[in-house]
Parts: sequence; C-alpha cells; structure tokens
Amino acid sequence: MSRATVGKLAAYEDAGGEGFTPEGEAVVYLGAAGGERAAAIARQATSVLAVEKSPVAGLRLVERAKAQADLVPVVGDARQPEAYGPLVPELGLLVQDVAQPDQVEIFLDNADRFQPERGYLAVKARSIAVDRPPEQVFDRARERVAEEAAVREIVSLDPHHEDHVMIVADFDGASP
Amino acid sequence: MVSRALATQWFGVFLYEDDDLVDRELFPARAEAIARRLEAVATGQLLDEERQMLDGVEDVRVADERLLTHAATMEGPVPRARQRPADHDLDPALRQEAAIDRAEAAIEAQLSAEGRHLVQAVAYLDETHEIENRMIERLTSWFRLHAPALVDEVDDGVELARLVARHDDREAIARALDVDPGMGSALDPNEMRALEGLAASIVQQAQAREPLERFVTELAREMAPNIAQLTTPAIAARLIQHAGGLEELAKQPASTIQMLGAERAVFQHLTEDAPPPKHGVIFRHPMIHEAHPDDRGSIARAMAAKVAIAARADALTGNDIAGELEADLQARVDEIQRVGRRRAMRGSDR
Repeated sequence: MSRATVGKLAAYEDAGGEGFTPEGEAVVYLGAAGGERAAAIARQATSVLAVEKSPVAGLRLVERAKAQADLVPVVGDARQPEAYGPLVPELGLLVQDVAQPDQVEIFLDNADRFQPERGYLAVKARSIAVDRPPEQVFDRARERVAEEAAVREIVSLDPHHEDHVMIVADFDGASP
Repeated sequence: MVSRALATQWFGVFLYEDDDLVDRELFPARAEAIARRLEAVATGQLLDEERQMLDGVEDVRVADERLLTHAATMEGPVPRARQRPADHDLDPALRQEAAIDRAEAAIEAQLSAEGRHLVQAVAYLDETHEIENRMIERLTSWFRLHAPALVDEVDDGVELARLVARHDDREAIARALDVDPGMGSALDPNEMRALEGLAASIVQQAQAREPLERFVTELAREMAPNIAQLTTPAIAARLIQHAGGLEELAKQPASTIQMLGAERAVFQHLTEDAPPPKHGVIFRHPMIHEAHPDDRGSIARAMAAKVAIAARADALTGNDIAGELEADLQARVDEIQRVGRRRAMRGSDR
C-alpha cells in the first residue's frame, strides 16, 4: 500500500538522531508492515528478519522478500518471539515499530531473548494511553527501557509522526 | 558435572556440553521440510529431533517453554544461535526460502480463519437486526394502544424503547419529551412491566450490536481493503459472507458477484416466471440504489466487475488498487448515466 508518509527510522534521522547504520549487522525488524523499509535495510545489513502480524500486509512483505535477498519474512505476533526464534541469528540490531499498548514490553522481551547490541524502539504515545500526556508516556517508556539497557537517545519524531519518539538503547550483549 | 544446553536453530537442533557442540540433528535441507518444523515450533510443539536429543540427557538448559521436559530447565544461558549454516555445509539462502514458505502458509491459514469469523458475525448481525425489528414492531403497536400521540412523536424505534424502559408511565415520557401525553387506553400494571421488559431488551439488543458492527467493519476493512474502499466495509463483509470467505469470493465471476444476496430471486427467475434480478448485496451501495431504475442494472454490472478484480487483489496480492478501480468505475457510471439521459431525451419510456 503506497502511503506518502516518512517511515519511523527516516523520521528519526531527519529529526537529528545519531543515525541508523545497519551495514554488516543482522537485524530484526518488528512491525515491518509491507517491508518497504526492511527491504531497504536488507540491502545493507547481512540479513533482516521482518516480523508482521497482519496477513494482508504480510502478503506484500512476502512478495518483497521474494525479490530481495536476505529479507526473511515472518507473519506472526511479535509477542511470541519463541515462534520465530530459530530463524534469528546472532543479532546486531533490533528495530521495532508496533502500535500496541504493550509495545515497550514486546521490545524488551525480544531484546532479552535475542540479545541485540542496540535497539531502536518507536514509541507511539496514543497506542499506550490516550488519556495521559505524551511526555508522561515517553518518560515511563524511557524509564522502563533504562531498567534493562543503557538509553542512548530519545528523539521526537515530530513533525512526521505526531506524538512519537524513537528510543535508542544499548544492550550490553553479554548474557545477564 | 557437565553443563548442558540445547538450542534449536532453523536448520537443526544442537546440544552443547560445557559450551562445546557435542551433538547435532540437522533438518532435511529442503525449504518445505524446514517450513514444517517452523510451523511446529510456532504452535508450541516439540520437534522429533528435539525429543530424540532430550531423551538421552539430563539437566539440560533450554530457552523455550516448549522444550521443558522432565530433564530440562530454563535457568541459565543457552548458546541460542551459535551455529552457522555454512559450518554444516548448508546454503544460508535456505533460511529465506523456508521462511517464505512458512509465511505463505501462515497467511493463508489466517485469512481463511478470519473469513470464518466474519461469516459468523455477519450472519449474527442479520439475526439481531431481524429480532430487534420484530420487537420494535411489537412495542410500537402495543404501546400505541396506551399512548398513540407519543408513539407518533418518536419515529426511532430504539429511542421509543429507551423512553419506555426508562420512564414509569405515559405521563413521565410526555414530560421528558415536553409534549402532551394524549389519550389512549389504560395499562394494567403487569402489562406495563411486560412492556418495559420488552423495551429493555430492545435497548440491550441495540447496544450489543454496536461492538458487533465495529468488529465486522474493521475486519472487512482489514481482510478486504480494496472491496471495502470500492464499496463499503459493510457491503464487503456481506459479499464475503455470501461467498463463504474471501478466497471463495475471489474465485467468483463478476456475474455471480452481481447476484450475491439475491439467490432467492435468481431461483424464482429460473423456476417460475419472474424477471431476472439485477443486483444483490451491492444494491446497498448508494451508487446503485440512488441511480435511475433503468440504469441500476448496468451500474450493478459495472460495479460487480470491479469488485471481482478488487476481491482478487485482496485475496491474492494485497496490492492497493482501490483508487484506480474507483476512478474506472466512476467513469463507467458517468457513461451509463449519459447514455441513459440521451435515451430519455429521445423520448423512450424513461
């Protein structure tokens, strides 16, 4: 589906984030939708495992994967990392863009299992709570991520994505 | 004591002792065989290869609850993805191939499962509608004996039910509406209580329909975004229901899609001497029912042709083609109406 919007990672770079450099890394991308961005990353990374829940978006993701080497599609729920775990290699980067109320926990569960070096979490305030100010939601998310990882940056994705931030965190890679 | 761990990767099962690989069971190096195992893992099953390897050992660390047998524990680290396919003479590209196989099967299963849910929900939606309408008819004609003026005042049946359920008598309702209660025969107290019960059921039915309608609309939009945009989500849901699923709908020719929902009329045409129906479910679209009666058949045929294409895109490719189809359809409808007007000007029976 062609949408004239800027992706979360592009918005993050546009907003002056330190940048996303997938060259030579193995990547897991949760919430890959039709795989537009994931396919682009697959051209630079060693491989991208792209997880998408919707079967309709999944159809587009699979079509893209057929045309792009090292784009590995999974049509399934990011809440069940054990379902796609065997497909995940030793991991460099975890990217997540899922609009779910428990998006922070989904991110941390996946990070805990796959031990990436770095994670990029797009947080959508309105998915978590519509009745709280976005700033408060972002603070909670940052605190929660900080319990498990070292938060490097938190970048607002305005104006491309209203009430969104990207949280970038370093996981120490070693087993806890 | 040795420390053991077992890890399943996409191409095999690996057993480590004190961090050294001591045993392996590779999967057959074919995409379908691997896809089948990925499916088993996703549904929480223990693979044969895993069972074999777990059978012979004790005190083994695993990372999945799926692998928790009597001898396994989830305490401690597992070398989750240490093996590389090349170390075992395997083509790394097999990973993508197997994942695509698995994803296609998952999509198919999920889409047809969603179709089954939609079919049930739409059928129930029709039933609740029918039940609700009958109850409203009964309430209206019954309560009219008591308060004809009030029944005439309120033209929405659910609204009338709400008033009757909420207020104790004719006078209270009249006060709420700020109108004259008017005349009518008295009600026995038990009769009034029965009427209130009926009214409460109607209100409850109407409330229960809201989430049901939302579910149907959202699911239709998700399953069949092209049909939903080209027609409406409600029509999309009904077409899918009548065809018995999105895949089934995608297999139908446009001429069948045009008639879906008018099956009775089709059979009357075939067995009795009735005229052929011009449209079924798609008649609900304003483009058809607001058109001149002489044009409806042509417009229905044009719309059905576009719905057939939209259904195939929704069922098979997931491409967004609704915009193009809408423009094509609009152009065709304009043409039909232009011809219709010209015919009318020539003085035919329009």
